[in-house]
Amino acid sequence: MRILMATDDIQIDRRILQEGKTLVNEGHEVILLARWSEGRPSHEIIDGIKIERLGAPGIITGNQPEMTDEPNEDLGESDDGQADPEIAGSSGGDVISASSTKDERTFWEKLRRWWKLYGLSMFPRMVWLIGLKIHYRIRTLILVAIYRLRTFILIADYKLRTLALTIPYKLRQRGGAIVSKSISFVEAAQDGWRSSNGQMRRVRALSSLYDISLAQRIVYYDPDVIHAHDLPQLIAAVLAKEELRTPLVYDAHELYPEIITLTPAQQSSLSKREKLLVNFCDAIITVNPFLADEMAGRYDIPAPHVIRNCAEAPPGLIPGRRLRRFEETLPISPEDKILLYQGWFSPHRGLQYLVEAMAKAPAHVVLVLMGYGDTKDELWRIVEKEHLEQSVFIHDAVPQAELLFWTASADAGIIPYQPVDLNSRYCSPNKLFEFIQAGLPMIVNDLPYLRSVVKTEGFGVVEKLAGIEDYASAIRTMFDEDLGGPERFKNNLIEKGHSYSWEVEQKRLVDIYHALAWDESSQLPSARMASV
Amino acid sequence: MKIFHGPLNIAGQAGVLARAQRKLGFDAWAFCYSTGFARFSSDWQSSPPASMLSALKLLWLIFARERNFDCFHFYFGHSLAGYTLLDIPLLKKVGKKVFFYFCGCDARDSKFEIKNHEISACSCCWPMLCSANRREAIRVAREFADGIFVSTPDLLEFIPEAVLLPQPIDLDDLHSHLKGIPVAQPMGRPLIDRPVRVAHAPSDSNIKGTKFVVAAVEKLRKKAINVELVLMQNKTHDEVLSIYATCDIVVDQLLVGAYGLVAVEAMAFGKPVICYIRDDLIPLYPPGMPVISAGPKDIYDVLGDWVTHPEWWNEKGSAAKEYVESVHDAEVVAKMCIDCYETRV
Repeated sequence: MRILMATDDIQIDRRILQEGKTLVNEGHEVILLARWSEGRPSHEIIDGIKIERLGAPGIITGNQPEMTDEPNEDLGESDDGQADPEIAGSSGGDVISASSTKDERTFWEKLRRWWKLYGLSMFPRMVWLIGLKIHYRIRTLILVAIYRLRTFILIADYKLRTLALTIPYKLRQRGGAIVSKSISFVEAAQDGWRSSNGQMRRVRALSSLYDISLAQRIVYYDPDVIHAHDLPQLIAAVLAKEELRTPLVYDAHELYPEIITLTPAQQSSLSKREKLLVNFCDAIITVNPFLADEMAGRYDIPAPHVIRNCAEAPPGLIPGRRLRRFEETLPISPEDKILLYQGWFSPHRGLQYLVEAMAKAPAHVVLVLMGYGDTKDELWRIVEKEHLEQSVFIHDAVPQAELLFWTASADAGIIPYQPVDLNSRYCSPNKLFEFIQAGLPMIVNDLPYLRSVVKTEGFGVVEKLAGIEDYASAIRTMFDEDLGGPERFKNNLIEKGHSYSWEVEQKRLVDIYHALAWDESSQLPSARMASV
Repeated sequence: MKIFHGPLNIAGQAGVLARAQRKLGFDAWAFCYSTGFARFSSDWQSSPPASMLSALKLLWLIFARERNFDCFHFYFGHSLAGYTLLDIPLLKKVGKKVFFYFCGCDARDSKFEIKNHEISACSCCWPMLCSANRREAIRVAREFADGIFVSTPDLLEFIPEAVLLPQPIDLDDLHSHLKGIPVAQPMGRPLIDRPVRVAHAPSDSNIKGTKFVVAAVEKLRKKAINVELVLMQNKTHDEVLSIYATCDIVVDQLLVGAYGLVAVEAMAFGKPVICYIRDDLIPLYPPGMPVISAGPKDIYDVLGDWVTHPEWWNEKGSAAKEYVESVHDAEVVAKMCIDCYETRV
């Protein structure tokens, strides 16, 4: 079957590509609609997933045959698009010249006759005649205006007196009609709200031009299943589902209304929107049990399926085996221990404290920040200010296909996410699973899901990372040779890491798709929609 | 009966059919947009109307200034109102006859193709070239049109009630391209003074399976077989025809399952043509269809056989020419059209 996935990503998330690849391997056709940006192709195929990036300028995607902008020579258009008057305007020109000739003959005849009668005195006579005409015209206008004003006043007087007698009676009648109509409207609105048609009307009312365009694009591909990644795609997916009558899978990578960059009003609006839209979904997926429970409680729905952001170990990677890529590219001594942060340099991930904490970390520990983001300059300033050039290194992001080899080139990883919002509190970041697949012990902030994995499985150190001292303490704990250093966690990672691999996790996705039981011939909606 | 062909001139079909119908004594004209790089000719050409004013000018030109048509023959799911097809009910209301000619991606359902056929052009087609209005065009055609034509038998899967109208070619015009051009005549013996020239002219290399053709030729060359691939892309129609004449074998496409206009023109030049023909479609062609079928998996073997046996070319080329003259000649096809126009009420 044809599965259409929609995402707002420009840099497509690893999770989406993994899910797409799994479905391709199951024999399905997977099309992914993503966002375009400069330097990226409008269409490409990655791991069998057909990717279209929306918003690329001037791309003809086969919807209509190629068009040119040549001038319409047969209609008399020149290169600048202007009509050639000789061709396009010939009939109009003939009409204009005919009427002006007639006026000229009449005027000149009159002039000739006056000259014969009056000679030069015709000129003051003409002025006198024109003045007389103007005088009579103005007098007529004034008389007409006075007559009309008098008539208006008489009529207005009559009407006002009539109104004064009838207003109370009419108001009583009109007021009653308004009240009864209001009652009917509210009752209808209440019924409408409860019905699926009413909900669909609300969805359409919330749709923006982008949602409608995206929905049209989804409909063009005529998929058998629509798979929307994150809330921004969900309205378009619901609109397309309504037209195509196909199952809809909503894959919530995060609790979108809780993102810290949103204002309280935006958060409230998005929360209501998500609450409305989840009713249209045939299956809801999220990334960890905490988010699943939160969504279930918030929206009064059964707990969504959980598909974790597990990573796929590339061929050739041996979990727990230390590689040396950083030593080859950065001035790091082979005796030093490398603490690795990888990913987006977000301002809310505690990276500033992490860098400053390196001043208090053991001397043989160096920090490598590998990734991308606007905070890079700020981090460099901290490094220079604290004179940490020998202890902190910033490395550019690497391609996803090579990432885990670089991850395996460190001694320990760190996930310092701060609980700035509910989303971050319940986070289960990609790097957690990448560290596990690479067999890399890790330091994580004491957040619910991170604790449930790292502490329970013995994958590393879990400590509250609120300030610089906390970071320094956690680093000292991880690299304490008396305790065994990072190596003390490696056995657990090697033994249990496979259960956190995508190879195991993808079966849940396949099961979800198998459970999307729909009648292909009639394309019935899901049981959820049928009951609304 | 005054017949309108247009406004899209897919592969020049509108212009060719209109000229052929005029030769048969009918008042047929092709009014087409000048689109694409191939620049097919028609009786009257214009840019597609970009504004309401230019659209109205175009309609005025067609209906008032030129002639009042009785029968409209539209191509590729487009009508005078573009892909919206809003004019079709109006044309029927005023008593005009309307015929649709579907040529490929304007009717083909890629989802069905990928799901049901192991080899299909749609599986390699990305970006997807399906017409956005394909379902609507078929619906409108079924509801309003007096008749529906399809150019290849694979489209009968989607419109079973359609009439298979073979792609028309103007043989006189075709052979005029041979004047002054050294035509590669089948020698009947192995070529020793030059490589065997294999022509391939894909309008879209993804859906025509160009990579398989290139790989097969490369493999043959590695086996010291003296073969040269003449790959033609972004060439005008005239240029392509001129190059065909100098080649020995023509490969049309390896994925669609039916042969296209490229194959017809090559056969008209008396060239052996290799093209993937789906097994279930072979009975739908007229008997004696001379195209040599080969797909991505066996193109190397089939091409290898034909490249190394030039003594086969003459017989196949002659059969191909006869087939084209009896099935694809523009006047033969035009007559089929006229019969449909006159019998459909």
